[in-house]
Amino acid sequence: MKITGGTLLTRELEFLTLAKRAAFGAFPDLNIARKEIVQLPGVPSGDLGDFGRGGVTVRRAMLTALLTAWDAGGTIPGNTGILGWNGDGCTAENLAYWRDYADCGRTAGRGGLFVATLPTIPYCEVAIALGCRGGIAYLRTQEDTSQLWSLLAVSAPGTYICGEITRDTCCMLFADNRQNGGIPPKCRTLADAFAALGGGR
Amino acid sequence: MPDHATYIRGAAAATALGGTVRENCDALIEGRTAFSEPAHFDAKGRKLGVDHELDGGSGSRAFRLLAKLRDVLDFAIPSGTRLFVATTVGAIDLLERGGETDTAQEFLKQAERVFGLPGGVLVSAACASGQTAVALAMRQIEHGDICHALVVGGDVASEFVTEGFAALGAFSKSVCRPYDAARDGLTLGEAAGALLLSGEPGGAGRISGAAENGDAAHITSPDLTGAMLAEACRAALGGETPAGVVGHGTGTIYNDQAEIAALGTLFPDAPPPLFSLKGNIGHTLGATGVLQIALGLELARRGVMPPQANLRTPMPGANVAAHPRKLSGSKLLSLNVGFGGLNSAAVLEAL
Repeated sequence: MKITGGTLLTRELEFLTLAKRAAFGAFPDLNIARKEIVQLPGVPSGDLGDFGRGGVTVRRAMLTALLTAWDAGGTIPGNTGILGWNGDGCTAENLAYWRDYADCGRTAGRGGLFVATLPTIPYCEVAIALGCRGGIAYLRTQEDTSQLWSLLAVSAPGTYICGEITRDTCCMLFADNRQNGGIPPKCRTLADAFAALGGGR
Repeated sequence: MPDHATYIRGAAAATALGGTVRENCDALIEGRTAFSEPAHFDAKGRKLGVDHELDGGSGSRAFRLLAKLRDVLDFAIPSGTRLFVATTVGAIDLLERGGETDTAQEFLKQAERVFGLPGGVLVSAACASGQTAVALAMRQIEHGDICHALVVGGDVASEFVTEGFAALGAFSKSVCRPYDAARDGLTLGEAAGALLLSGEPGGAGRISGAAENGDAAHITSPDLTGAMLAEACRAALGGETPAGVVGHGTGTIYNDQAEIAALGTLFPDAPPPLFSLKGNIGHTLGATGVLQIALGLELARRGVMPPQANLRTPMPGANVAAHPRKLSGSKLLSLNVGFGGLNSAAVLEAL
């Protein structure tokens, strides 16, 4: 397996990439980050039509994925799959939807908030933005990236974006399970693996 | 034809129709349905596929569902088995009662305790979670990473999900009618299912192929051409023609249209007999993919495709019927479709 690119979005809204060792930001907000990132030479244009509709998690995922694609060479295969792993799941989105429903007297839920209550949603939005038509799933295992690598190794041969989204950060790595690059580092989090691979400052 | 196969050494189903695979299949073939108003929350007059055996008790309903599934298992779990748990919202009733917790992770932890299998893998792929978990387990078995896998799929009926689907306008005004010309939406259900998969030959059947992909088109709607779903089916089938199709068949206008378009692409002349169990027990979310394989295997073994419950007039292109039909072979294609444009196809074969 070979990791050919990656991006870590920090809590300060700074984007750090793995292969090109580039740094962008820190940005004051995600809308400004979007404006600057899409203008960078070689960054895939992406379909960001849903950027405003999605919550903060979706926006962070979209921008991190755009830079991950850029870091991995700019153009990614259309059959790229996406595996979300661990992180914070969608607990915050579940609470937001349920509290809104409860605060409104339990009369009717709000569809826009309900859609966000699946941990795959940010990754599906990434797939739409980048045109990735491979399989998509969110996996939770023990805090050990070797479990993610073993599941990735047996997945359909091809390229994958592996993502980890927490309340404050977002990390994505671009992996090709057909290429021989050894087993990526065993770490507690994907962000730790990003650092172990040489990413960050 | 794929080179490898994963054997199904055991199957279990705990639904509103019964606590065994045999009971469930008897009910499906008789065309029985199991819709009623839930007693554990106000569904505002809607009927769901509620398993009232889960009513009462002080703990989590989702945990009771797992305990019930454990109680109906009629096979032993070999040592070294890896647990895969498929769910959409897991123990969502914990959140409804004020808990600020990752409800899917709580469901995974409880499944690890109930089945005595620590170190499990939670698989969440919206309504395609069940088959996606089966596919992951199958690949780890065929790669030699593990010998056995217990794949558990489950979700409970909840106010959280019911009101969410209602907000999206996805609910039927009466009852879901999969593949019917007058279908108007889904009906939710609750259930759990389990499959013991193994690389060692034996058992009642095998999974001979699986594939997943995404439409990358819309966050809640499937691609109505069914192009990527057809592609997933093609990859899973490997050139074979199934004797029948256990469809996702939620009864929503768009889902069923996309499925029929995909099947029309694959089988333009003579689509195989089609059936969705959601007409009987509703959409059981994370459980449905596991149940489709568990019950599909027994139906393939009996050589019978059940009648499509609630069917009045088949939608154009849908090979569904209101009466049981004899299957011409032992291989079935099973479909899952999920929010975000997720597609999953699996091929099972009775041995």
